[in-house]
Amino acid sequence: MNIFKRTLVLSLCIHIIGIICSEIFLKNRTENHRVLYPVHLIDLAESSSKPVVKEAAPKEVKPVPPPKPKQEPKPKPEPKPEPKAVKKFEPPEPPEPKKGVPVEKKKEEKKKEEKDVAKKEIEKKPQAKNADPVENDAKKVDRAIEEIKKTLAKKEETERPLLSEDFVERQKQFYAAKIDEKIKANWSIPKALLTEMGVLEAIVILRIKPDGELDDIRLIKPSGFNKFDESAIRAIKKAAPFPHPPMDWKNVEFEIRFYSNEMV
Amino acid sequence: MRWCSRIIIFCIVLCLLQTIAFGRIRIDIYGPVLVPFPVAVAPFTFSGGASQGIAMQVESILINDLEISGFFSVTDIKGFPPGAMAGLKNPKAIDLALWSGMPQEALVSGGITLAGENVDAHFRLFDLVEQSFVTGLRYRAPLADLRNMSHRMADEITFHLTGQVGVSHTKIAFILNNGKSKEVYVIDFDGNGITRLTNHDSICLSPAWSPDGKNIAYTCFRKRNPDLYVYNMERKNFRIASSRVGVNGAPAWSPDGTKIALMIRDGDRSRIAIVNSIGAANPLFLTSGGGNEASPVWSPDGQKLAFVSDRSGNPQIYTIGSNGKGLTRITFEGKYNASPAWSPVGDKIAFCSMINGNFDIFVCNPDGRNIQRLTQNAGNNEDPTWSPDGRFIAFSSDRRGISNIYCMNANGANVRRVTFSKFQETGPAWSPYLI
Repeated sequence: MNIFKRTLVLSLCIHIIGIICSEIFLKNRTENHRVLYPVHLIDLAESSSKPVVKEAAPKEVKPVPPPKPKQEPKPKPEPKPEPKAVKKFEPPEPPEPKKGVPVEKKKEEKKKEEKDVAKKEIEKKPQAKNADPVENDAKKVDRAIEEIKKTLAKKEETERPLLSEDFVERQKQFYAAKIDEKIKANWSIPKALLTEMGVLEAIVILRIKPDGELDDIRLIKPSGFNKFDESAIRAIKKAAPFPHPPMDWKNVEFEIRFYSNEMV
Repeated sequence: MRWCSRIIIFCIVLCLLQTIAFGRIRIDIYGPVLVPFPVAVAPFTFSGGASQGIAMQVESILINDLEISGFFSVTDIKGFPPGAMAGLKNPKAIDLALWSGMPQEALVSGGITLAGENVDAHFRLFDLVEQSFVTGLRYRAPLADLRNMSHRMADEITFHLTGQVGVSHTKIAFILNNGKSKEVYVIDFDGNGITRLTNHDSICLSPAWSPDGKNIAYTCFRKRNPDLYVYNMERKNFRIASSRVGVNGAPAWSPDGTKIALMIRDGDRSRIAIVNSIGAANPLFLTSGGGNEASPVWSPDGQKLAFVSDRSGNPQIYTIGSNGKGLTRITFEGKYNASPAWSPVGDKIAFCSMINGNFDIFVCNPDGRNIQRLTQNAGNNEDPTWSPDGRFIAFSSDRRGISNIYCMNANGANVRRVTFSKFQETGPAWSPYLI
């Protein structure tokens, strides 16, 4: 009995770990996949943002350059357990509770489902209209239309956060690519200062205001060579002001790692 | 069951950490552009009887120093907005906002005023990225010291922008053979301001700076015997420090300035001895065993010396502790290795080695490993000497027919001619930082 119990618990644990691992890896894979097809992504974003009238997104989407492969999320870094970051990042998440959709599901699946449901709803619409002449009652028609509108609106509500979350995530990636490009173009240091210094790494936290101006620069990991750190901070200051961050992104925060060597 | 719940908690924490990692977008940027720091130098102003010529002289010395350092690329202020130019007339009211957006990262402005017999020179350094005033200094000195003032300005600017102590205000001593005699000369590191120190009408050899930069020791045949002389830079006179019968050659000052390593004749061969730098009582012989020894130099910590010995049959470089222990041969390639020079940083020894009949300059680690060749296909290159920051090596070379002094980066790049006389110039010795 005891052995059975133990086996049961053990297998449970192994399963949980398995699920978490697969979750991590699948997440990475889908993200890589996403960044590999940027053109496709822009199309999707425009069509998905159409029903959402309030958000003036498409304006900012157009000039987005295809991100270089190096901006792809690396195999996840050792996560920095800074509680601040969690706080900062929460606001952009859609505040509405996700109705009935299990969070663990892959995003692709979600989209498919949602679209299917939406299709069915649209099919319903003509049915209701066909019913009108038979009943010959204008009020009933109105009511039916109202109902359809309501359900559609409901659908939109559930649909919007999911699609726009994906959309915002992508926009962030594009935006990060822009920031990367701009800072790199402004980063220089005399060669004579780097001779025999080995590989240096400095980590800087950069916050950008909604209007693209610099908000804050913090050196969280100095390289050990003062002038190298300074060159990194100067690069950011020279690169500012930045393009406007994508909509809905209030606290734009980047962790920028500067390396003195060329990318291997 | 307890460890089971622990594992579950661990898993939950793992999930949380993952979401944190997602919260801040990470950007990796590799490989900065390796270009010199772009600096703009505005034309120096002049007033109070100072001529435009003096102002321009200071400005050009300053610009040349900054460029030789390898840290900076200097431009003038053409292309800057006109408002910013107007601000220069009154540096206190300079509007730095007008300078932003320029490719230059720093701006130097300055001016010259005559005050009686003296010259007042000042400069101001602005950071155009931070849009701030960095530093400003005013110097007052006789007109003859204009060059030194300009070098000091360059070193000050170098230090504030790079964190490195510049070598603009250092000198190189060397031997000039004018056909009748060989005398000791000094020249600024940039190749200007050549000054003759000795007038012995004799043969002087191997100058060596004291660590405080106030004295230069050298060997001279003035009294027929090669004696050790010390020239005082402040009093501009000399004294005889060692006059043993036989050789008193190839002096090298210890880093604390209290001792001089010297090549002394002992019987029928030359040996390295350490003598007191004031007198020369009781020379301490470092080595035992056979062979001639020459060209001692100290490590920057004073713990070791490098020198040349032919005990193996031909001249090779050896190191030994200053207490006479730990004799180590460090060069094994080539049949003639000589003139060791220990980098002031301590990590390298430069020397010259004969290859195919010509001498060339090499560097290696103090243990003899990691040999790198710095010169080739350019005549004989001899007598390497390090700048006090270890970034440059000066040497003598006959690549243009007669021997002149040249300077290069410590990796052999950017060879620059330092002396331009029509005479033979040999045996350079780079000064320490001068006060």
